Amino acid sequence: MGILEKISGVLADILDVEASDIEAETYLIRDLNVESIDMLEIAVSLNAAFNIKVSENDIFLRNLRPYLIEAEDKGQAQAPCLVEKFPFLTPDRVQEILADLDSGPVLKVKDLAGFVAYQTR
Amino acid sequence: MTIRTGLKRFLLVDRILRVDAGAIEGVRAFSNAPVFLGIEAMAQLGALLVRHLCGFERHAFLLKINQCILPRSPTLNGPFLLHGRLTGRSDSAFTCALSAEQNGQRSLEAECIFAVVPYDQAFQKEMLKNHYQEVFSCLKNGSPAS
Repeated sequence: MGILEKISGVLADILDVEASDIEAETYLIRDLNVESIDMLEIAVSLNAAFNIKVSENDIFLRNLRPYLIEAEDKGQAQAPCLVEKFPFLTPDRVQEILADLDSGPVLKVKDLAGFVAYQTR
Repeated sequence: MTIRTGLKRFLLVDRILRVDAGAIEGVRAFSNAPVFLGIEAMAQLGALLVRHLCGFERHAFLLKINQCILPRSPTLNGPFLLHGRLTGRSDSAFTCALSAEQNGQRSLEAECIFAVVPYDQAFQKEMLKNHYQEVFSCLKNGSPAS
């Protein structure tokens, strides 16, 4: 079973949705209505499923917007800052995120998969 | 406000028999107790494991109970062996598989998720850290815990 499929199973169990409705491009908060309490359960479930260390701040991109403000305050480019802070995000994904910021919470299922892949590399 | 639980005390673990990095074992003797107190006893044991794993540096609370299996009998009587096994953890949460057995028969089972948070104004470190450390130590050493 692939990482994405396994993550979809975890999310489906916790959120009581069909795994088939969960795709890489699905937004966790915008589409699946994931709340902070769910995030804790998702974090421990991914730890158990993949035997990886899980930091909620990293996997859920919690400090993304403060990091962007910090980069702006320091006169630094935002994209390299995010790549440095979240090394499991590809440069392309970072560009997508930056373009999507005004539409709401940006976290997608593929970001969880990226985190897991990075931790298990 | 006074909350009357009908219990002499709210600590529902009598003794901790064994604890390590991933598991805890304890005992609790019930007397005609409703089943929900068995669930509470398992949750308390799991929370003690979590606090122990955090070095008592963070406040732990029960977030959710998953997959709870209850006994047929409506009441619990006699000594129960309580088991807790860590099945998952992150920076801010822990999952424990918990069970209570009597005479080698498993009566109750539950998977509990605990969240841990830094102490703050509402959950004061000076009071809670010492309290839970003392409770844990007393339960491990077999001395009375309040």
